Amino acid sequence: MGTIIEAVGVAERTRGLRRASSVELAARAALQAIEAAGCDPSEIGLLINVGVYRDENICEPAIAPFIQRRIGVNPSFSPGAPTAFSFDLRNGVCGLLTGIQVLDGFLSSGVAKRGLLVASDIDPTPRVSEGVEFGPVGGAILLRASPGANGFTGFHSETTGKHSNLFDGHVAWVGEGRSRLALRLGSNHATRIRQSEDFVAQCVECAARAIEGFLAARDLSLDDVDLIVPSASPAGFAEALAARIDAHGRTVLTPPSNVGLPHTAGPALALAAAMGGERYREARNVLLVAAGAGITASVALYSKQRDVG
Amino acid sequence: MAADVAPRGVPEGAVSSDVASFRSRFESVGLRLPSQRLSSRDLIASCRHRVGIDLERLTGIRERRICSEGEDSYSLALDAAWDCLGHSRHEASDIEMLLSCSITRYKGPDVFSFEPPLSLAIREAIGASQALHFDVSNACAGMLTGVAIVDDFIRRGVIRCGMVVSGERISSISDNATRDVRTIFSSQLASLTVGDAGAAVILERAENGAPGIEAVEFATYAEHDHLCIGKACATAPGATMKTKPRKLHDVAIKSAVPTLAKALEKSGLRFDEVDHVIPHQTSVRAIRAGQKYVKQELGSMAKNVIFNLESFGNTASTTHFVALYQQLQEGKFTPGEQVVLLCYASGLVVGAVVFSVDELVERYGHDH
Repeated sequence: MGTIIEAVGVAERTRGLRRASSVELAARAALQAIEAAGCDPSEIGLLINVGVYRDENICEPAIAPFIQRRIGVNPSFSPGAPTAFSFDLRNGVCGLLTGIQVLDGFLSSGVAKRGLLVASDIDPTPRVSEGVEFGPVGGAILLRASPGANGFTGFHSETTGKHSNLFDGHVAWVGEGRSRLALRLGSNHATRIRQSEDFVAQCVECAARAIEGFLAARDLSLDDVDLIVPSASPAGFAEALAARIDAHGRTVLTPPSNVGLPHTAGPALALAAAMGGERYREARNVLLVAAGAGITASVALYSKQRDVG
Repeated sequence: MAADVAPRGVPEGAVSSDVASFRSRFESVGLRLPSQRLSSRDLIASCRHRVGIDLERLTGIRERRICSEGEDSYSLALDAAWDCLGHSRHEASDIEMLLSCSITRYKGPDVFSFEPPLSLAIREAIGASQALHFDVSNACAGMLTGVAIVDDFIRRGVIRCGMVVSGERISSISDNATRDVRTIFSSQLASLTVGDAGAAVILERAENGAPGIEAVEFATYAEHDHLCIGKACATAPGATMKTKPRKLHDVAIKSAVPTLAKALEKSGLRFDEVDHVIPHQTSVRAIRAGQKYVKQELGSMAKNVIFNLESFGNTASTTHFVALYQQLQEGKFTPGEQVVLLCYASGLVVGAVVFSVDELVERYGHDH
């Protein structure tokens, strides 16, 4: 049994919408993946949303049900009909890889045959936010339980808690002292993201340790890995990781410069870009890598047959 | 510092329910309640408008705990995690997975923290330095969703021990509702039923065929996603929650029955063989109406339905474990009894966790 990637979807803008919507971005990316896989949405039994910065700072319910309804994944109760379970998982930019790990488990336990991961972020408080540099981007990864030996074969995470102050994202009340009228008219909760200058460098260090640790535990070396696909976020991470571990540019695939500025959708954007290329098609194994706030770095090894997307 | 999740004793790539199948069980439960109490009478008296609602009579909630200065979602979760470890045989270093599952994410006054995840701060504070950590958000089903994830990792033999924790400083929705509630039909009326609490639970592999979690079932009926929405308040610190309580309750109970039936079937139990049910604590009337409907649909009823909302209100994602803790402390369970944790939450999420009580009872009610 293995969990294979059926399709990846990406949505970089929400044309026709007055404002970017995290639900809409995730839904469009998800629909793209569902269409590419040619599957019926009712075949999806699990949906995990890993986006962090969401429409109107909604904290209840999870955002996943909004996306579930929008894309028509078993939203209604009907006796005997298939059901789906959806929830949000948050682990910053590592969320997609953590979500793959959780879904891989549920799929191999037989909870469902297909599972969908979605990630999207928007600026919830556009006029008053500080430090929001990512753009409105969504990504989706559709996974399926497969009887073969291919698929995700290992996961590993590394955390350096002492660097938790290098990236901080929160929403804070900023309405103190404002008049009642100003309160009614304005955005009184502001999204604030503070990223220190050292953040990306530390992400790279943490990711390099995660890769080394993961490979060493399996008696493997970098030479045994055909392709490394680092997340397209944070900005500069993939390039710096390539410089750190891959002096000859043979293994690490950096995302093309025309992708947007994702946050949690970074690994999906990188994967979508990679899957369109020759090097991915030729690879027998692919190591997905992400790093973000914490600092936490995650890796997931994906084994595949050549020429199978 | 590494959180490697290669399965122990199972060849890599061979992790499936066909190869490795263990059972998990609740090993320890921890609780943190803020000391400040707020009665329903005082809460109604603080409303801006003359509402004339007897909240206690309407809901069965006499009082709830609320955070004081310096207490927040994080501190409640952390204290509950410590309490959980205090009742446990495990050290923090045994915890291989740590999930924080609260709706509210206050860390510091009026700061709703998204990154890094709260689970990281808890992990660092208690010293669970090998734990894979992340946060889960699933409204009032948060902790049970966390239980479903950790249970799956234990069942597959990937980990032996994990902690699910949640701290809810949710009373800001109640503060903010006091300015708007005018009648019993107010969309913010349900906000007056909540209370603050922190809870934690350790799950471990049940060795040698010992009883434990028999079934975990969940479904999300997203067509009802709009029936209860909480978000940052526009005009004051904290959040507001708007609910259509009657509709929500109606569809929740109706949708919960098939999920409950499936969980019972997996456990090989009839509902009248279940000794205790802990439903999500919304209001006494709603729970009683639900009880009646479930009995009618399933043809039988569990022996005992547990209510604890009189003293604590609806403590959101922590509700089942607050109730479980109280029952354990009061010695209400006997080893071998079957318990169902039944949840219905915004989304709409319905879920049921069926487990057997075992030696868990021995660690409560003596010296704590």
